[in-house]
Amino acid sequence: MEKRFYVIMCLPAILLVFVFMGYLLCHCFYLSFRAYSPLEGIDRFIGFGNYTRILKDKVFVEAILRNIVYALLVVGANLLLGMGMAILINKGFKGEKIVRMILIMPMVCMPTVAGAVWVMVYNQEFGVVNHFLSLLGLERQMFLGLSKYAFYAVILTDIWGWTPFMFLILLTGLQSLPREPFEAARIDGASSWRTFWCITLPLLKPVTAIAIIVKLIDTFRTFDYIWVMTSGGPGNSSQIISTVTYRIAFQHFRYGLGSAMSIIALLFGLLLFILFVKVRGK
Amino acid sequence: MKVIKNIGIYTCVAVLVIWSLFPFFQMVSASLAGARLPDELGLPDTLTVDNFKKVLFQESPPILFFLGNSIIFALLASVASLVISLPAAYSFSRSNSRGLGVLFYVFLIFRMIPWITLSLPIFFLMSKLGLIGGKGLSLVYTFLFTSFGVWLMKGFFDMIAPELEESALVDGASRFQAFIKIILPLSVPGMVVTGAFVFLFSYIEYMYALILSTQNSVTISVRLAGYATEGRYFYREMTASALISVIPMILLFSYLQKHLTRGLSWGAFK
Repeated sequence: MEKRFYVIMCLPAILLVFVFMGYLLCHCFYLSFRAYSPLEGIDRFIGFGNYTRILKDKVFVEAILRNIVYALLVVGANLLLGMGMAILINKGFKGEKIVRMILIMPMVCMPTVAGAVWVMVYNQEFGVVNHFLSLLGLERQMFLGLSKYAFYAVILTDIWGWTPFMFLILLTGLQSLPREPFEAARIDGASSWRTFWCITLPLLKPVTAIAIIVKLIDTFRTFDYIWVMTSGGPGNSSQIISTVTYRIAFQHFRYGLGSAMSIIALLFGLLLFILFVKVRGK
Repeated sequence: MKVIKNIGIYTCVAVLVIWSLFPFFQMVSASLAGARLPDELGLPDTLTVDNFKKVLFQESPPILFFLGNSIIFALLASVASLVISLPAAYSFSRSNSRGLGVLFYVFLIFRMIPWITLSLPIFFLMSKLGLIGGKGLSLVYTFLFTSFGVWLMKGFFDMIAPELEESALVDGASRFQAFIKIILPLSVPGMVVTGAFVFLFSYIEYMYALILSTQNSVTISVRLAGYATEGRYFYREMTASALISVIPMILLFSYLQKHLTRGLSWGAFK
């Protein structure tokens, strides 16, 4: 009797998500095996044609590799910076509540807004970054206009925007740690570095692992910052999976190819989920 | 020794505050700029509120139209996903069935599917159903964030001792009544936090807002991106609009700051 109750309660959510999701995934899968370009009147089955084409395509392969670099750099920086912020706030000082609110602000600012503002920040003539470069006697750079800088410039913006997310999670973790291990360490005379390395970090591992995996998955989904700031340019120097897929599907209208790219992106997500399960199991 | 430690702490705090706020400073100074854009760090020569006036009153449609769209869609999505995910989260929390346990895991997987994967099929499905625009977008956001809602709310429900419902059941109430009369009132903080996060995610979302947009349903995030076109960046209007658009979120989060940290700890540590 109770079991029926639970199942009924779940039904709306299950219907909405599973059915919707199932249908969409199947459709995507189906499209990925076809050449489908309504604008050109093409619609036929081509088996793995899209996949082989994608894996041979330099732009897409580079986009995948670049996405991996993006993920590692962003999440790494999020972790370091976020941990620093969390430790600082956790220590406690006067005015910490206001500072906490300030540190959260970049996350509350829309990625589209943040991207646009950082375009200003990177601007050659009146951006803050170039202002400091000129103060130091260095040459002003066109950060978003040069292929060697554009990608990393966007990475910095992403770090600015989403570190607060990691910060909040880590802070919550720190604040809910038990007191005893730290008391014992203090009595035994351990240095603060030792305490951090041998007690704090291991105790935080479950939460940190979750935060890292979630954030890694998010970076494979990321789209906003890059699209607003560079649209994948200049040339193809800052393309990542989502921008290439978007361009192919919604600008070139080659839906079959776009779907295949999406499936590959999904496989990455699944890979990360398996990692997540393994880590959580520990 | 303590003094050095304090100086160290406050220096770090200052650096972090500057790091977090400097883009906002640039936003403010550009939005107040007159004829000439501000020269690097300083405030512009001519301070003016014309940009705000232009964006609020003179442009067509005015900024409040886009803001309104964003707020409405985000509100719809957060309410709908709460309504749908609450019962499901409760079931996952209280039920001992292994089948439901597996289902919950599958919900987690869905949370992890890259959205780009779904973008094409969603576009096709919504076009076929005639749900392009506001209705479609709210539906998509509800769908995308329900798994998040289920996940987070299950954590909150897990924090509430089952004994509370048990005593009600012993007194003759049905499960459903126990849920409505006991559990829900106790989980208001959790519901508020979950709703706020879904609101935030929907409000700042760009890709689907772009894909599904029609003339009447453009959201603020798409509009803001529109100020940064290929040829020119309309910095003054863009920053004025951006500052206005951030206000609802700042209000929401400063109000919720008390709930937020508590909320996260309940959800994330199960």
